[in-house]
Amino acid sequence: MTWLASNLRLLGRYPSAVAGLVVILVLVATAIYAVVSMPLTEAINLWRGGEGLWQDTPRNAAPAWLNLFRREKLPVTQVLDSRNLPAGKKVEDLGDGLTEIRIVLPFEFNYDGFPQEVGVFTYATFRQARPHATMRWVTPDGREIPVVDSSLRSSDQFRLSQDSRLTRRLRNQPADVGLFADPNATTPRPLKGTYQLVVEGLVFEEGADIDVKLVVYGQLHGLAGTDHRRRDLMLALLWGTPIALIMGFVAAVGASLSTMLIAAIGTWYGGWVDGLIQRITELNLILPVLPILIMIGTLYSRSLVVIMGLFVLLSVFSGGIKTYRAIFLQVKESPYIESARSYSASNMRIVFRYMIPRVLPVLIPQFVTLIPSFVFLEATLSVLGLGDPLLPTWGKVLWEAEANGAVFNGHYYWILAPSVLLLLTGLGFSMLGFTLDRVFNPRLRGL
Amino acid sequence: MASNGFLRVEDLVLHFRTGVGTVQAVDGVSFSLERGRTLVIIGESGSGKSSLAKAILRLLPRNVQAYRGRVILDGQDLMTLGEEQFRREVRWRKMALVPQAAQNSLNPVLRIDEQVCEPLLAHQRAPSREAAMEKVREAFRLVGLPVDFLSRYPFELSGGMRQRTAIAMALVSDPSLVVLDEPTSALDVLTQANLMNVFKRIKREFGTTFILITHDIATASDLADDVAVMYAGQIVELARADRFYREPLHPYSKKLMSSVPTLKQEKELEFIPGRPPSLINPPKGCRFADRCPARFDRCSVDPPPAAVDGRQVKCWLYH
Repeated sequence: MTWLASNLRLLGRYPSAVAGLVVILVLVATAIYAVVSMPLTEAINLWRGGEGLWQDTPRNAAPAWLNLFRREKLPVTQVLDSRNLPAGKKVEDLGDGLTEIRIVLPFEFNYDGFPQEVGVFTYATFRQARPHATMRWVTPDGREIPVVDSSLRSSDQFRLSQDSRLTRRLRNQPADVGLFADPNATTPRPLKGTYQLVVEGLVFEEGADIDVKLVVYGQLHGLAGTDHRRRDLMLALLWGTPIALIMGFVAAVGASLSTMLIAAIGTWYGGWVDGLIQRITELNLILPVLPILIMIGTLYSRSLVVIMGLFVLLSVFSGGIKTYRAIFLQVKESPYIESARSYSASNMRIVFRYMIPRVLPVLIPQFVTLIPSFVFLEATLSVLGLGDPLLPTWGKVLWEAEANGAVFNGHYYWILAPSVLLLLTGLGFSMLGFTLDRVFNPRLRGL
Repeated sequence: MASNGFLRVEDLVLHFRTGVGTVQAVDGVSFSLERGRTLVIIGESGSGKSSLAKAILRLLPRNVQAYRGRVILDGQDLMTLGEEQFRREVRWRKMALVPQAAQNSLNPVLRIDEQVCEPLLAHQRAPSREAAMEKVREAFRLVGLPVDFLSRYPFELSGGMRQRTAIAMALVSDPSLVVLDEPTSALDVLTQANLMNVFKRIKREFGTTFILITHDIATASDLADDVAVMYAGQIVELARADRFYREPLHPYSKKLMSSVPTLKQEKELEFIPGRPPSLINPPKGCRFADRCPARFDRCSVDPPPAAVDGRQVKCWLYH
């Protein structure tokens, strides 16, 4: 342990190792944050999407921080819900069971671009008689535009941007432009200031109520933007981190440790044990891994556990066995092993206490650099359409971006974010791994 | 020599299979050794000394062709024991080995206290780790290693210290027989002398029986009670040390002794012409015959050991 500690202290002298460690720590912190902030089932549920889950987010919106680099600020989504704004709601009893509910939803709009879409969602409670609502759009310069005039069901959606009558009334501009455009401008330009949605509702029963939610969808959203199904990409990027790290780690452990162990046992016992291991390895080496994985993915299951488990299984008996065997053959003949045999250390004792520790310095850096390669593998499989159908992973994001023409449509953020995360993972682990190599194998230090 | 010795080896044979033929590394070796005495086995490189040690401790490589004879330790015939029983009951319980090039016989990734502990732990000889460590400290004091070196790694020690560590490792389980395979071969004279003193002290204090394998006849004389001279896989002369050093009988022993410089006498050093025979297909008769100055007709027949007042010489001159 002190050996490990002193070696780790030695790592501090290499800036690249420190940088790699920082990257890894940030990734681990992100992973922990993701796991703590949202259970996996909820993440899967949200990622699967579904009715009403992603009502308040725009489609294909770029990350909000892009505004920092733009002179013309693009709008972000604003959600105004009368249930959260009790001040804007006035209830007046008109007698005869008739009640007027007046809801005012004011909001500031100070952007240089138009919103993506305007939606009004109503939530009404009643027994028999459906409430009625008229809504007016009040612009900063005082114009009033009637937008909705309808009786309400228990919940209704009014996608103003798709309302063709409204579009016609707005001189053939869709609502997201027409409601915000400066009437005096020659080229369409949004008018800045306070807008209001005024709802005048009539309910015809005792205890009936109306609530309204106005969503002004922005062109930008959150830290990572959204995809074609309005899903916040942050979810997949966040939850993709623990999935990638755990999978990379487990697969690297499975592939490298078990490979070394098997090589050590084979070399030590020799004879038919070694022969069998070597033949299995040689057979496995000529098996094409990717087609097998594609076949399993197509015919059996695309679950991450199945695919990665299979891959680890296939990579246990890989070229690594030959490499380790070459080292172990040398170690096996060292005098100290012979002397261990002379004082009757048992076979397992020799393998675990004498042979394997000799190779650990080779294994540790290899192990660290192996982790990102498995993360990349998951991404590769996902891009090939073999990703896990449920889990939000970086690879899945890339695949969906590709399938929905992200580059063609200019949604670069959709591809860049998961790619950058993949690259960072690779970079972090590689920088650490290469430095570990120098620390643990001092002969390389002079090079 | 008492025939009811503590260790009795009878007609021990160890042949190896190689690509070019059978190497008769140990070919019909017999001797016996009393408790508390030290037998020095001397001989040139390749005369089968280390193979004899391996044969006694049954540390056989994979290419063994023949391994037979009798090794009787303390009245127990070791050759009848199974491999696992031998491992459990004999190795490091009754006899231990300080291997050749002992400096390299330490596991580089173990601290030396753990290393010296290993035989105890491997044999479950210590009730606890603490008890084992206590034994280790004792063994360290015995070989004259400072106890504060315990937590170092082999590479941090000098050659002599590593050698002492290997010796401590052999002594830690209190074996009654210790086989030392060239324990001082790679060390400087001062360290050699130091180690010899360590062996002498151990012998005096614990009555440990030693088999010391060496080609360094002068240094070995310090410790020797009995001397066996090996030539081409066979013991050619076996005698008490005082008599052997004063007057060797076998022509090979004579030549060997006259090649050793002495401190007080002014003498011309001699050498033995020729080379030792190959152990693959050795000559039919006396194996030294080709190089022997006293060669005569009968030498073309293998001589049986002759007993000359308590000494054993494998030469026709004494029949």
